[in-house]
Amino acid sequence: MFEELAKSTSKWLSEPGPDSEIVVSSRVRLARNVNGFPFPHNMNEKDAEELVGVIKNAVNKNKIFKGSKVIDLPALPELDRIVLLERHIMSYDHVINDRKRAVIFSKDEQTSIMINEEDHLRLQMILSGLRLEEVYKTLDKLDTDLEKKITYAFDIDVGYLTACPTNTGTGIRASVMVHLPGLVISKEIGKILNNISQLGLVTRGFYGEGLDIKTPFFQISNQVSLGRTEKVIISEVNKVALQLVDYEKKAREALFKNSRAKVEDNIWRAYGILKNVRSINFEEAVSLLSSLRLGVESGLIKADPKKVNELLMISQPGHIQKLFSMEMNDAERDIKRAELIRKRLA
Amino acid sequence: MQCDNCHEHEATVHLQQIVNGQSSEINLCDKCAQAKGMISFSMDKPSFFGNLLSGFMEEGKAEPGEDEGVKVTCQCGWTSEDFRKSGFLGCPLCYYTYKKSLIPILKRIHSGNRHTGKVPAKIPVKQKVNKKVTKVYDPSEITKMRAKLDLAVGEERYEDAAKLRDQLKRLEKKIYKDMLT
Repeated sequence: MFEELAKSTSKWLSEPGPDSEIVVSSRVRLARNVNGFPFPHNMNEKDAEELVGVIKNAVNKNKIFKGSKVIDLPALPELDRIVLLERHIMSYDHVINDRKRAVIFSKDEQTSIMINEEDHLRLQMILSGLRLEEVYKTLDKLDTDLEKKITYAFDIDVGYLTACPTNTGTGIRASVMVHLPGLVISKEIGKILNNISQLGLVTRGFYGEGLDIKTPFFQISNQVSLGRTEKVIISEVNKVALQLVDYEKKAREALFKNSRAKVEDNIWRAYGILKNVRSINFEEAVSLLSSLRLGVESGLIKADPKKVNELLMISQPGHIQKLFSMEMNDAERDIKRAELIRKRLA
Repeated sequence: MQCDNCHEHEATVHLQQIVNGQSSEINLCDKCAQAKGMISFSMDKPSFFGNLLSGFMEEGKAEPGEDEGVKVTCQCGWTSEDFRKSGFLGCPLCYYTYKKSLIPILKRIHSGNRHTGKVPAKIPVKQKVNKKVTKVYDPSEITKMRAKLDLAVGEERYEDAAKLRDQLKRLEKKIYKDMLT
């Protein structure tokens, strides 16, 4: 399965969106549970089977999922599950746990529901660029549609009841993935991330050992889900994202003004390596693609930003194996990854 | 540094999370990081929230709830011990079973313990788990009254607010009574 899927990138990554040179994507998820059933981790086989049936019934007829079907996960090969993880359709937990569970996603991959993950339902939608309000509006409609067929576990005082109290209340997590190379190079990032955390938001990032933060991709999301309305929560994350866009733009301007030669050298070197590399691990690929992305977004390198985003997605281990239709070890994968990047940048 | 996941290989990837100025880190080897999909920013890393929550729970112990020290079991089979250890609840009804210890935890994690967001068109009446016929009630009356009460408080109409509060209490009591029967 998914051979065709793995060849291209998801719409939320390839399509331009508002501020998408800095805000890669906007995502909202809602945690929901069906009344009358124990939470997934405390469920027996029979309950799980029945629950998946109830949800399937409610979900299959929804317009958003026209042309898609609920996929039972225990039957899906691991590599296919990893591809869905890498495409942000599923969580890591949903890939590995072994209970009866399922997933459904829309044709454009922007909307998905994980069935029987940590909660009975995890509704999720992703769009490219900074579009949190739009995402929530669509997801809210889907939620209201499902509510007609499913009685959600809900309490008038504490809201939607979830397996973990960190999601109780609205069950909402709104997040943006941002690319902040300017703030990382100018070393302002630490201070800024710390400030964001003071506002009750969570920041996460990946970086490699030895050097400073290597891959300047970060995720900002809300921590609080109870005591504030969905609208307020979304607007808080949105406000911070807009501020980050502003800071990042200023940081890039200053960099190109004050240390142009150094920044340009860094970008062209990354481009040079990517075009000639013969073996590359995923971490290095992300780091170099991040530099290339900065080069493209700042107009230094003439290339389609979509192409760079696409490489970020298909360089992931599951995608590489899917694209070459074989299981590979790390070393083999690194060679194939290099081959793929060279070809696409030629 | 060893990988936090397999504890076998050298950690090469470091994931950092900052919450309320508190930074926590997970260190993974190449293999485990790849398995987790490095740029796949999963929003729901159970280990993180698990750790985070157990931190809250530790603090929560400073204010013991009424069921502290007594082993309570919900009808779904989930015990107070299970809850304290895992940070997870066993079923929707656990919210009522462990209410006393849960409320301070919710207060700590969130910005309050009262839901102000979306309300579904039907709300289940508190009932046994695995009871397939769901009895529901329409919450609109309560939500409307709560909005009126908030408005009255906001506009400092305290006499009205007191009246509304009493009405609300009566209504909630009635629904609660319905729930139990």
